[in-house]
Amino acid sequence: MNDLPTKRDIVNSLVGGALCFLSAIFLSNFVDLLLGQILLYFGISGVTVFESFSIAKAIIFFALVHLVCGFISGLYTGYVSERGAKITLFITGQVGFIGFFSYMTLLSKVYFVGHYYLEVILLPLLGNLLGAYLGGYTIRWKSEEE
Amino acid sequence: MIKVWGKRLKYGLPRLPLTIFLVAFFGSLILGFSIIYNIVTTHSVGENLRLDNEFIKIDFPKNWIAYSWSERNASGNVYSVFLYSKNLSSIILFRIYDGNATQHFMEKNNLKDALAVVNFETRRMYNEIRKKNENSSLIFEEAGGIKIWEVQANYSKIIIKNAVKSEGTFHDMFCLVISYIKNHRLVEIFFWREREDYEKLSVLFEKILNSTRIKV
Repeated sequence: MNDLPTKRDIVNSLVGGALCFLSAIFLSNFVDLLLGQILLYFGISGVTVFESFSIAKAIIFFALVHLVCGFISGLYTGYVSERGAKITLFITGQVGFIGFFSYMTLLSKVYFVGHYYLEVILLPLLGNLLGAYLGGYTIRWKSEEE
Repeated sequence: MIKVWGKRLKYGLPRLPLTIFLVAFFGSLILGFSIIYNIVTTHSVGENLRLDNEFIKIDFPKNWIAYSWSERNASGNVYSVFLYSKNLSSIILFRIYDGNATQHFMEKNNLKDALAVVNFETRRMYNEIRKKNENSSLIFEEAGGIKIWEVQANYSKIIIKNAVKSEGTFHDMFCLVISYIKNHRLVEIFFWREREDYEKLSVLFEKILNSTRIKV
């Protein structure tokens, strides 16, 4: 069985990855502001001082930024690619993560302290990959009727 | 048009990957906000939040923006707590040095005691502001010794005229620096505030300071 992606599929998966990290840049800024506003609204801005808040923030970012961006880019890649979904979706997720990580590092927004491995590596990578696969397979899912 | 919801399984559920995505999405959100809720419930003391760790115990208003961090390097460790009230435009900063960081800081800046630290920090603050606004000027209001948490500390009150620009006009800034050395460890406390409203806030500052215990 030949399920290797074609060159066109690889290019499409790279475009999907670019879509992933560009949307992550936009969404991360938006979610950062949103979270700040939510804390402000409830009058609990002080929670940011506690170490466990960084874990909570990382989990919220995992859901609202990395998982969503991975899913959207996965939808795109799954829709435009014809073969080799496993590989193309992996590329999409990886490119999304590497692009976003590079962007954050270049802007010195990454602080290698505390739970940084969870906040800047593990959860973003997991979110992008999981989101990309779920998005890709959502679009390719065979229904009962089919 | 991409039909994500179009094809459904036998029992009317969305596609399995979409279901997993939704579960992961909402599950993570619930978990994240539950952790925040847990922080609030476990650290609330009346209208305040209590930060209690190996360096400091402090109660501060819930709605203040607060950060804490450690700067670790070859010269030692400096732990800082930053408190900021947006409504009151005031900042309180605690810096707690370990033995090595204290020694490094004192040697690097050629300082001998807490009084020298206070003078050094006030001048440094003023120089930073002067870089942004050359028209600013420094007024030493008061300096001396004070007993804080059973420790003899030094303090200096200064006013920097035309320090901060907001809404097109320059405002004077009031600064209070308190410093002491105990067990070869340096502790610094900074309080910044616009001069006009200082009197209103000094009570709150004293209240926060009274609730604070530095674990040095």
